[in-house]
Amino acid sequence: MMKREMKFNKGMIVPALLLLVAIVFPQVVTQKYILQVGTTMLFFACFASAWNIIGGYAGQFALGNGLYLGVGAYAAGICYVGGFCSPWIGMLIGMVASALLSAVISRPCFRLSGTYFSLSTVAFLYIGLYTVSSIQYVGDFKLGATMGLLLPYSGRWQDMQFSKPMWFYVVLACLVVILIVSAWVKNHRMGYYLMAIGSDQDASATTGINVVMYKTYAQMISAALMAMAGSLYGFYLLTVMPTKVLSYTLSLEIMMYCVIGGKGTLWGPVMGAMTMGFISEFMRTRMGASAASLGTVFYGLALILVVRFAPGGIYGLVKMLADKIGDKLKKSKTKVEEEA
Amino acid sequence: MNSLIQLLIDGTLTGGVYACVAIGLSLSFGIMRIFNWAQGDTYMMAMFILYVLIGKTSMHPYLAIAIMVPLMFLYGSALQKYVLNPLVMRTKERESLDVMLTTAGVSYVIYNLAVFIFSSNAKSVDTPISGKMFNFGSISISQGKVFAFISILLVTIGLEMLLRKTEIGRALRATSQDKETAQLMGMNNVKLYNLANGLNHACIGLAACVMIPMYTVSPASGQTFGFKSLIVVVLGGKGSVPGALLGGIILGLVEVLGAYYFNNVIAQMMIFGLFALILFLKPNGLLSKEKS
Repeated sequence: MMKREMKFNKGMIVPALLLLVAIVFPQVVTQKYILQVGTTMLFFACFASAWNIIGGYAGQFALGNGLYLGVGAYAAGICYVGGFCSPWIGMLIGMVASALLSAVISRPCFRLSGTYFSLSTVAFLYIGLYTVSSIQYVGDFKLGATMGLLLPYSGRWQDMQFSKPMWFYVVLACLVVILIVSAWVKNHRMGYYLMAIGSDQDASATTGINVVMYKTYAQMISAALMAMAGSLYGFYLLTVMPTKVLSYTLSLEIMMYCVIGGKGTLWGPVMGAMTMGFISEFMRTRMGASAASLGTVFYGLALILVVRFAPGGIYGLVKMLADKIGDKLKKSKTKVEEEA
Repeated sequence: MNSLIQLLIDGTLTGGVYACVAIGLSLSFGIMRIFNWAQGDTYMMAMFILYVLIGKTSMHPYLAIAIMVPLMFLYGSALQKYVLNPLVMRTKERESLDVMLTTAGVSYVIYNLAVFIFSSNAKSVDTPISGKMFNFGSISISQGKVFAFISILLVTIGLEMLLRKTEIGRALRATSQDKETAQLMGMNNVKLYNLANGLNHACIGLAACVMIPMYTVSPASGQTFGFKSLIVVVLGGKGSVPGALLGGIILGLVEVLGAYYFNNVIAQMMIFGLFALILFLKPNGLLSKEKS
């Protein structure tokens, strides 16, 4: 595989700086509230980046993938509350279960295209939601139906519980892992195949790419990452309930962050989550709690505007700006050289 | 035996109610291949408009039809003209992903605007029809649901006649089959799409008027009806107007019978299970003309 050396080095500078800023952030900013906002934004960056693998790279709008968030949350939660094993093992179980479940569910879904595909994934999300919402007990174990699992507080890292600043780092680490996987998918053969499938499925099938196999791989990876972040999310909230982790609205929001930020790009979903999260918090603090809904109205409008006028999303806009500035710099440089 | 008849009637009437909201979607999805993710939330918006209207003027909801239908028609065609058409026209594929995203965005905007303006609690409107029942011996039927069912029958017949017997109807059907060729034959796709979406929204407006006597209004109701609408359309076959009515009735029966013999949640699961079944076995629906 061709190693793109130059791009690799230059491209590392900005992310490295951002990582540095992120690491320093909780040390400098100590207000709990801001840390909370930042952590929530990081969570959404995780979810959006995970979804990006199937929704962005492969172009399959699996709107029901929020299901795997729930699988991860419940897996870790059940292991902890039931005393079966450490929630971290639960997280791994959740990831494997999600990958397998997504493979099974996606097989029939992939036979459909476009709207019907999305609808079928949403149908499974709802089936999951209703099933879990109606189960009070599994044998002796209390699943809690709509009330869900209440996770007993212990504060120990072994129980996947951390202090507020520590949560920031944990979710940041999760995001880094997801981004590394995402970058790996993007820059290797699978990524190329997925992009081909995403842009023209029939044409790529004629070149011999096993479309269903690669789409399924993408789904499995996306589902596993979603579950990983989902496990952490459940413990961050200290409750695992269907309306929080198996919600269609949440799935929709995840998709929105990804698309607004720039689907199919590595950094797009992160940028989308950060910008939208920031704006929404800004509106809430400036205009009061009722304005929280107004902030979310803004997401919808942003999505509509991005789709119509800026399909590359925020990432695309930033890149365009950066390119323009780069061009201007180059022009002035050559001008100086000419005059010299 | 009586209770079974009661259940069957309830189920059919409830199904008619779902069909009311979904029938326009069948039309628009069938003709333009645009799945309006905002169908349920648009219906909720229409209900809220009615809520304010009736609150201020105490108008009879059936009278309000004369206001709501044209209003929603104008909104629907404007939405298509200014927001959706530019996206449909710039894609060569049959189904535009951008349009799907946009209608999802619209649904999100409508939902959160409703929460912001009206807050999340359910509101009800007092109408002359509310709560009134027809009684035949031991069977009682909600008057409002009967009128809703009659109206959906009329709409179904009306739309079918429009599609089969008029020039415009033929143009709509032609453009649904092959939009490029239709254009080559001189049809104005843009105007036809505006009409189709306008009709969809007009049906939603009508649905809101006949449903407000029976249902409370809340921002969350949009989602419920939205999903029921899509299930109805998939069951009945996209583009098939009578299919929407049939799909609605099936849905209503499953829901009512399932709730009675099991419980509410299992009934909902049965509905989604049925939906998944149809999606995989007969994705073009029960009454669709297309081969699966």
